[in-house]
Amino acid sequence: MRRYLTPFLFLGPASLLILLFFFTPVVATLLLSFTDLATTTFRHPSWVGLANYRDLFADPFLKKILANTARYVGLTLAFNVGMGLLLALVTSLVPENWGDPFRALWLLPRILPPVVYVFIWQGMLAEAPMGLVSDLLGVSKNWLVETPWVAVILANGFVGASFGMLIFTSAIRAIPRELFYAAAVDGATTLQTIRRVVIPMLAWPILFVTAYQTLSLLTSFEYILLLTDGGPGFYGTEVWSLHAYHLALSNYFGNVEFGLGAAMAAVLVVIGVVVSLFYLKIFNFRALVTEPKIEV
Amino acid sequence: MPLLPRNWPLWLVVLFLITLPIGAGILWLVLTALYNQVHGLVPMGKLAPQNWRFLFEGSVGGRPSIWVALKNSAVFAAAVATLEVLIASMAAYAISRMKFPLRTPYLGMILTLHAFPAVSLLIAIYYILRLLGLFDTLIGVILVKASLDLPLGIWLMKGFFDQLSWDMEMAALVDGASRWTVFWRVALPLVRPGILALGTFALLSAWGEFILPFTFIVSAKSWTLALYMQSFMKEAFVDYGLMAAVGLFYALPVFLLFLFGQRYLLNIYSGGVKG
Amino acid sequence: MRKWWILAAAVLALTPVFAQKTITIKAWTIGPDDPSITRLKNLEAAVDRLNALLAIEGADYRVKLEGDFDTTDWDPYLRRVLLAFQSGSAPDIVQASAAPLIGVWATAGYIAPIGDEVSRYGTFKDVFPTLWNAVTFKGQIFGTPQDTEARPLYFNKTLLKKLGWSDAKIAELPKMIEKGEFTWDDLLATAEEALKKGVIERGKGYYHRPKNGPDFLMWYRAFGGTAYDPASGKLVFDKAAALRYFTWLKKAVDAGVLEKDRLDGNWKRFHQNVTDGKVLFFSGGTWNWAEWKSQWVKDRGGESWLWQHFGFALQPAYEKGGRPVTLSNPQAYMVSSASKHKALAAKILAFVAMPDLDARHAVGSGHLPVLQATASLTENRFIRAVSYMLNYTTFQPQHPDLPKWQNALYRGVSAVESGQVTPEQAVSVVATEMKRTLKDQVMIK
Repeated sequence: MRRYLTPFLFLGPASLLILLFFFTPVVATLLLSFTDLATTTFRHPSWVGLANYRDLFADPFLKKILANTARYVGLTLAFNVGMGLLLALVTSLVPENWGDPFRALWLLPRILPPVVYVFIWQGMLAEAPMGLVSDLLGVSKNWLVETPWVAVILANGFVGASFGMLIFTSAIRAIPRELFYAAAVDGATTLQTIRRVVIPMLAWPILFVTAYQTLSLLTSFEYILLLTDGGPGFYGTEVWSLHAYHLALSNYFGNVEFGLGAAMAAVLVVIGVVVSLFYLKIFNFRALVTEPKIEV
Repeated sequence: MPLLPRNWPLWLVVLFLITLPIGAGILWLVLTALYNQVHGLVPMGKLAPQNWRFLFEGSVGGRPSIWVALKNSAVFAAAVATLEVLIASMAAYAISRMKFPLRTPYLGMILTLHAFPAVSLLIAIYYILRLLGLFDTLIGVILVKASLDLPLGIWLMKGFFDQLSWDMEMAALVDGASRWTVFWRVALPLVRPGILALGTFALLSAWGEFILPFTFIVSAKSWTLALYMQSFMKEAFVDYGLMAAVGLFYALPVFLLFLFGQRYLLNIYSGGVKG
Repeated sequence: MRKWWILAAAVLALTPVFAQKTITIKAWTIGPDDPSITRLKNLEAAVDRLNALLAIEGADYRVKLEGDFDTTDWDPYLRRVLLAFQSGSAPDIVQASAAPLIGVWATAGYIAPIGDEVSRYGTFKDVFPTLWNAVTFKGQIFGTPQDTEARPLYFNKTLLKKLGWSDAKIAELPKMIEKGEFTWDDLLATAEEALKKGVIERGKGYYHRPKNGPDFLMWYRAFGGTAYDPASGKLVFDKAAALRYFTWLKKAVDAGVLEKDRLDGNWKRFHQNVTDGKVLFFSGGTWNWAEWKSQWVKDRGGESWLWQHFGFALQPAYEKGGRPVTLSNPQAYMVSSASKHKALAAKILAFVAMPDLDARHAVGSGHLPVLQATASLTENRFIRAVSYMLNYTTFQPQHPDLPKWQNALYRGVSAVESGQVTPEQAVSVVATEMKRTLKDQVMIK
């Protein structure tokens, strides 16, 4: 056993933190979802079995939240992948000393603090005189209220597009030069080259980006929380993960329902575990886990 | 692409057009922070130093001073980055170099967690922090943030260790150095690019972090800049100039890094760091 | 020997300083409107006065207030308070709406009864007696009244004039509403006419608050609903009244008088359009007057601009001759049960209940005073002009499950306004949800 002491010491801190903040919360989320924990019952919660799940699915407006979630994930994903692809292609069609600064510029939305990033969106979409969009269109309106979905999808999309852009760019760079020369010899135009040479090589990265971002969009709500907080109107842009957060941690009258919120989160947790295990399988886990270089 | 199309200036125009919104957004922030009033992107009136009054007045509308928030943000980001780099490097080193039971499942778990969306755990993490007595403390949020980004860090650092030649470590071991000494003195200095990459990523990510402090910090004295800024955004009466100035102040390190370290940033983010 | 003597003298001289303890009292307060910062400032003033008194008495302790004033919003504030209560790190003093939070928090055991303390201090004797009801739960006092207010229906006089109303008719409007001669239907008809004549833009005939709040209970009452049955202590949902209310909302949206996304969560947009003079009728609170005065129309003449352009009345009745209403949501200071200095905290609250501080808050923030002395002394024109509304005021019932009732009603309102469901469907959805969440605590009529 002693020979394993060293690896355990090296892995100790990481394992402890993962145990505390990944494993325990997964179990706790499931347990909480079977209780009636809420503001008034905090000191004496009781087990209610599946009641939270029953309540959840009995809610006549759950359909609306599901539709919102599908809309948010679907459209943002389409923007992310499409824009990422467009950016990767276009920045590859101009000289490097032009392409790089633009790629870096597209990193800005991702690395800017979300609070500042969202403030810029809110300001640009505000009424005149501040709002740039009102100014350009000549109609002074709060475009965040008029077109909340466009705002939510674009704000998330500008952050998400750079992920695909970077991955597709490396994939394009990895294409053997000979294929381009062959296309040029055949007299292919730029667009033909892209279609015949580049796109076929990007199939796998596109699948990867789509798979990866589907899962992270399904559970992310930070930008929506800051931008519209689920509004305007009746659950205007309220998605599943945000609704779970609202139920469990936010209410105008201070009446929060941890149990119900946990039930909603538990659904996401289960999806998250299953899907990420599935990804591990299709993205060729064995190949990734090489044996250690040396054993002592 | 290896062969530059003849009409590349045209593509440059396309690129310029689709990037325009980002440029416009940044410009809007800067102009709004500097001027009295801005109509769209046209500054009106005079420069407005009063937008920056939050730097000189002790508190704006009962808030803690911005310097308190700045200090908290700096401590938060630095601590998260240090913890994450150190702990991830140790674990990655063990995975890359040592044999132990369940090594493969362990790595599989790290990879799964890397894809697993940690925000869905917020509600439960609240209880754990409470149990540990770390709710409403900067330390609690630091631990949570470092943990949630850990799988990514381990994965990234493992890649760097895997590329390292074993010769130097072997030589040190033969000389009788302990495993820890080898890790600390020999291996770690050799993966400096990895440490810098993960460190920068962790710093940026922690600097911008909003949801975790928003959920787990309730006392204004532990506010980070993200909470300071957000407290203005929620208000009904908006002083755009003041808020833009606060935002610019908060985002300044990010802009500086962008201006002076573009290539470096691209390398980090293309290096497989997730977003 | 001599050195020793000097040292002893020095020690004696310094003793009071060293022996003095500093007790830190934490207090959390919220506007969220900026002018209400006096909710914190008054506590600070009270602590200063208390410390001065302690110095005179030669007491061995001083009080340090660690205060916090929240200007964000109720949901993050209450989340903060709740998480603090639950984690045992709650402040000693918390300010929040008396009803139903006292009911909720007292049930959960987060706040302490302070009836004994209250009876000890003379300053509390001058508080309006009705306000003690608001801070009493199950026969015990759980807080001290901080302020109260009324929620008027404002109207834009300039727009009414443009519509052809005479000055006399405009001046008469509050009286007509008070007598039940101008109802919600009249309001709708007036706004429709204004829209047709191009006096207002689409959707700007009537504005109400952009997010959840106690006002929806008030409008449900304005349409004849009751929310509480004192005899059984249970909540009530009156389907007929809710249907009247929802139907009116639907009509207003269909007529283009009310925006279908009025509940956009955006106070900014509410105040902007109102103070740009674009909205004909708008329900708000008395504190809005102070916000408009000191922030939104500050550069256009402040309060005199308001007097010139805005008028205010009660929330109308739904049928001719009916009784108009308003709602007061008194704020209270409460003492947390986890506090180690409950008696001291209560003493500070006694020092806040002084007419000068009460007046400073009321006048500065557009709230109504809690002390009778203040009310009779104040010269403030706005406060005098709205105080008659207290004769028509209603409160939120002090039932710990009221938030669930309110959330269900709010969901109905938002679903109807956004056109998701018909008024009839909304009523049954609300009734079902109340039955589900409130079980035997609600009577559906």
